[in-house]
Amino acid sequence: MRDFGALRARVAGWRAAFAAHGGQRYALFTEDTFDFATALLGAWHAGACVYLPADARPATLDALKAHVDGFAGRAPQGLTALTPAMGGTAPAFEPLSPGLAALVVYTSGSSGEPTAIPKRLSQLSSEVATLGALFDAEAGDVPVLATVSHQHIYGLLFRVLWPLTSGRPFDAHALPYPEDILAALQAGPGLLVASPAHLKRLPATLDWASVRGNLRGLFSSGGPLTPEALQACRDLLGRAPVEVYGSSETGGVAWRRRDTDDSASWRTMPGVEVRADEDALRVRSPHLPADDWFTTEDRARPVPGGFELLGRRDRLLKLEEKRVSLSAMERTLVAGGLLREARVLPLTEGHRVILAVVGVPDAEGWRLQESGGRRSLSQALREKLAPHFESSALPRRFRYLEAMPVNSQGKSTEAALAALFDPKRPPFRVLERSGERALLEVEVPANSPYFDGHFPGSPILPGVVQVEWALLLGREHFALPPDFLRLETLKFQQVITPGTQLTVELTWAKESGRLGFKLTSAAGSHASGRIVLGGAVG
Amino acid sequence: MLELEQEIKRLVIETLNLEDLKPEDIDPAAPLFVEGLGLDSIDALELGLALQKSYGVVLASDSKENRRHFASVRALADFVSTHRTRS
Repeated sequence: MRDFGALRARVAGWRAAFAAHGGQRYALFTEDTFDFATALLGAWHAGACVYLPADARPATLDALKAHVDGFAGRAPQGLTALTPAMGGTAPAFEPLSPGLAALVVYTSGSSGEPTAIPKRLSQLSSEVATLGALFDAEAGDVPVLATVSHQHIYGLLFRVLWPLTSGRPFDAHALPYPEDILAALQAGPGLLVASPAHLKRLPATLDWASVRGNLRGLFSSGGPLTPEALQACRDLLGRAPVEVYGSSETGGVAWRRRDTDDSASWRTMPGVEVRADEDALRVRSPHLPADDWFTTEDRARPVPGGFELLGRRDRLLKLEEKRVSLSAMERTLVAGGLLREARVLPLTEGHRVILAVVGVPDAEGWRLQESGGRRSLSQALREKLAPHFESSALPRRFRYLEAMPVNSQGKSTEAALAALFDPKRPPFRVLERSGERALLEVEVPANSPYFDGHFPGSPILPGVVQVEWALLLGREHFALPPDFLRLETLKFQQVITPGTQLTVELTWAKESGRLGFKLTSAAGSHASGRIVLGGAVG
Repeated sequence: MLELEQEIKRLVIETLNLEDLKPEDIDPAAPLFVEGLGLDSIDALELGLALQKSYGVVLASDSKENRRHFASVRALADFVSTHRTRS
């Protein structure tokens, strides 16, 4: 437990460190929310702008080097991160200028490359004022608990800036697992800032009834809350969450609480104006950088006091001169069974663009794939689409997963989906699967690019590729945490040559964060080991 | 002839990069386009080029004739065996 004095002292230390370094722009990534909050305030008081990478992957941090003068928290390899100065007497803090270029966040958008979104301090303070006006009275002064990261705008506002402004304590650690949420609420009352991804996965087996009284507020944002997740909140947690609609670009736009009415409409936040032009939802608000109308990617119908969302605006693509609606294709794919979720994306192959499907099969879909192979399911889906789409638009590539690959904000980015079609990924068939174990038959294609030059004349599959495949296949069958921490008990017993039919056994021990793998074939054991993973689950 | 059919099946799979399909999955008598394998006119173009490269066959300018040749793997094998200029 740290008090305001400790916070103030640490902010002063960070301010001194940033001022001594002398830059204008700093990247900040840290897991600990106390460190994060104090570094953020310290940078602002030193007049610097803070860039928030969405994750700490080496590529993400490396890409930021060109934009910032230094790193706080995690730094890319070869650079040293700034640390707060200790001791010394701190000069008094001056009020910050509302015009300060305070922040750059990155879109979690489902399409394309992340885009940088700059925010002035005034945008952030009006967001926080709005949250206070709407929810302060009900929230009281209980601590804020969260499943989401403060590196994104939702977590930043709800678990850092709003509590700081309202004088409410906040938990310095995110709660990655439902068991953690339960334990935190057993310890005392709190507000829970959650992602729909977490609320969708609340195990009914935990004793939620014992903590209902301690759960004083529940928030959900970052993506739509499914009807199942809503029902789980009502049944297990005893309340419907306050859902907040917005995006990294728009900030908060509207909210609602569906206590009884499943289809309750969104209530526009005070100070925010909305309108629908040809269905497209447009927003004007003090949370935006300028006083202009911003067009969102959503369709909406205005109702008194707010609006109803009608889904994403259509994603249209021109394929061999013909217009295809990817959204309509996704709707057709899930209509009437076989798939629970579907995403359609364009892939460039040679000199044509083809469509590819990433699907989450339902029980019937998995049955079809287990009995007749992946091709049977793909063929059934093509037949389902055939009456509605030109034959040249029918998808050519299919990947089936237990769950959509999501980042820590619960979004499936186009890049993550496209990666599933990478030729470096081995073709495989599921033999058995459960929540803790998967048995796969994996083909080692003779034309795999991994045999190139490894070694000329006597191709064998590199050991790092074997580990990479274990992780990649593991991610498709279990909800694994994002960060690779280390390897344990790694053994390579026999080389793997082109054309080998491997049996890959994966075991996932969620409590210890260990993904075990064993690669065998008719020739015996090839490799085994454990991959230790950590970080928050999306 | 059977051997040529096998070769053409492999050519079709490789040229069009067909997923999850082995030569034995293709019925040599089944239609290649629309129903059956579900290939389209762009696939036909690609396949025509590949046949030309592998066997030196030149497609006629008569589209009705071409449609007949491309009806199935078996029809393609017939066409290639009588028109090939390369072995």
